[in-house]
Amino acid sequence: MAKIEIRVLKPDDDRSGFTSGDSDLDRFFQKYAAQNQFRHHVGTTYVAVIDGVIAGFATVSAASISVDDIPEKLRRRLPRYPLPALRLARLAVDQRRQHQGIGQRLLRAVFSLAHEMAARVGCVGVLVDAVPNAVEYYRRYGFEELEILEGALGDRPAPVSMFLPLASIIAPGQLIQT
Amino acid sequence: MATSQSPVQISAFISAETKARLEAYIREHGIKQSFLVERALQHHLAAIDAIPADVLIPPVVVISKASAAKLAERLINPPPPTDAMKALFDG
Repeated sequence: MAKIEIRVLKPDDDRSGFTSGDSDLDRFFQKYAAQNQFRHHVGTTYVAVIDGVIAGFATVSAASISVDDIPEKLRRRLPRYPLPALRLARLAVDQRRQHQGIGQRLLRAVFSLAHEMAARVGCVGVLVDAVPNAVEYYRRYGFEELEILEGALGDRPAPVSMFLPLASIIAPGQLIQT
Repeated sequence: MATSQSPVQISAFISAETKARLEAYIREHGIKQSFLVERALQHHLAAIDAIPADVLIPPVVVISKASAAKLAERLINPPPPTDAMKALFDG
């Protein structure tokens, strides 16, 4: 199997030929992922590269989760300040490279990043904006749906917001108990 | 963008946390609040012009009370890693 390199997007990466089959994701990656990262610093894109060609990408951003008008009975269970999280906003794999474990490699990188973020600046878990047909995929990893009142992505069809606590994510190097 | 036109006043309800950060920044940099607010708005509007709203990633997510209850439960009693999670990191 070809070697997959996961790394941060570079300004001169050729994104023009990327085709995932989802025109909105392709448009974002080809036209705006670099602007988001290098000009506005509002999100970072990680790419999976095989033989010098981008085979997939995942765009993440730091986010905070707030509760509107927190109920009294929850005040003792949740801190009063917003909860820091890693937001996996977009993930896609090129059609020519689908079903080769590239999405999993990107997801594993995102999970490792969440642990790194927790160690460095704080992170309670991963928030994913799942395209509707990927909900079951994320559920297998333990993600559960959240109802978002504000701060949803503007993608169409509307993504499904799901959350996974950090403690349910295996840390890099952690002994796996079966 | 500052112009020679007479300034107008706006008002807005913001979170106490944002207000505290705003005031701390003003103290730290010795600038006027109105200057900072207008510059921040200009930056935000410029970003929206450069990147369509539908591709922006909002930094703040507000969840419902029901989801907050579920989130609190998961943070206090997190489920163990699933088999798929274990398989992802196995090997």
